[in-house]
Amino acid sequence: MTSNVGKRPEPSWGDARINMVDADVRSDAAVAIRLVDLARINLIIGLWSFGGGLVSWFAREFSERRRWVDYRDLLSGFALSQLMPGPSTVNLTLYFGFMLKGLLGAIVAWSALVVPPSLLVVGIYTAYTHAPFARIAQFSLEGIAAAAAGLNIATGINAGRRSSDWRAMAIAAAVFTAVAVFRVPILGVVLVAAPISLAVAWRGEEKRQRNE
Amino acid sequence: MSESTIWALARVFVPLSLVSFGGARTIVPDIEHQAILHGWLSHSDFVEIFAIARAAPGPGTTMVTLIGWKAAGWFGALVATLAIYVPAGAMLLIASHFWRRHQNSPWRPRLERAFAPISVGLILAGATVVLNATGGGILAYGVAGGAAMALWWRQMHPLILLCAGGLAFTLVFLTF
Repeated sequence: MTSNVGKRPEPSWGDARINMVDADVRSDAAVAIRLVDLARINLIIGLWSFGGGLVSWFAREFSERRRWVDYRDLLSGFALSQLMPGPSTVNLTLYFGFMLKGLLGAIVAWSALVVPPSLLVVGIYTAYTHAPFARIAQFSLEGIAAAAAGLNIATGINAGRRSSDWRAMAIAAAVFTAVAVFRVPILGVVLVAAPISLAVAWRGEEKRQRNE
Repeated sequence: MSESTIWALARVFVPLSLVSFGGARTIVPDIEHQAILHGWLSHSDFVEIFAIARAAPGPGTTMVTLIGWKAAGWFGALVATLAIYVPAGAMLLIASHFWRRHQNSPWRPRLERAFAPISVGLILAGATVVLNATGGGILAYGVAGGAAMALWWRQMHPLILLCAGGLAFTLVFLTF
């Protein structure tokens, strides 16, 4: 997902004008989106996602390669996916499926993402109880999970670089520290960070509008 | 498999679905407690299922499918899977409907602007939690750093990077 850095201007957080231009482009593209494409991408992502490399992959497929959604939609959808109950990756695909193709799109995207891995995991569990190489298989899967975590780090840092506001960066750092270091439950962190971040965003937005 | 087992699966996983903020990871203690209480799993079954669901493709929530399957066969797997996904999914669709509907509200750009740094923090924290959960230690951090840099500088496809990560771990495992 970070592959296009520096090649084209990205909308910064809160730059509504650029977002509106992107929204026009998106509405043209939305006509061409087919359910079968939505299913195919979700099928591939679902079967190849280990340890949560999904966000970067969604960003790559939906935003950078196909331009179905712009970067702010991606972050906005990710925020909502994190805030609501359920696996954030499943929420994200429901959000995009619903946004792009309505309720049917959400159901198709969800099925393609969730059903094959759910069947596969039963097969793996059955095989695991017999396989003599189970430990090696487990270790290679952990390596895949580590690489997937690296892809997410690239996504997070790349998204963070779009902001020039030190207050936003401080909030991102505080959220990271609370969740990763002190293992505070996500719900509690969000309940504290959201009003603070909203106050900062409100001030930033008023300032931007005054400058216009 | 009995009818009461099917109902019990639904009764356990529907409420858990509605409080699974952050996915299955946050409700694991409750899942373990209920699965053992109902006699669906032994403690060692639970550890195995947890490890496989985390290592296998798909969301970690596939562990719920496995528990349903262990408890009551394929029908149990179906019921448990729907019970853990549908309530949270329905809430998400309702929320996203309002989220997108109020696109022109002055609140939306501010809310999005406010959520962005929180998302960045959570993405990075999630990656760190995954790295700490693997048995790889420094190797896991090395693989993650290498994958992130390869994505930045060489623009490589995620699949290649994932395979390379698996290969690196396997080679180290076989060597030492």
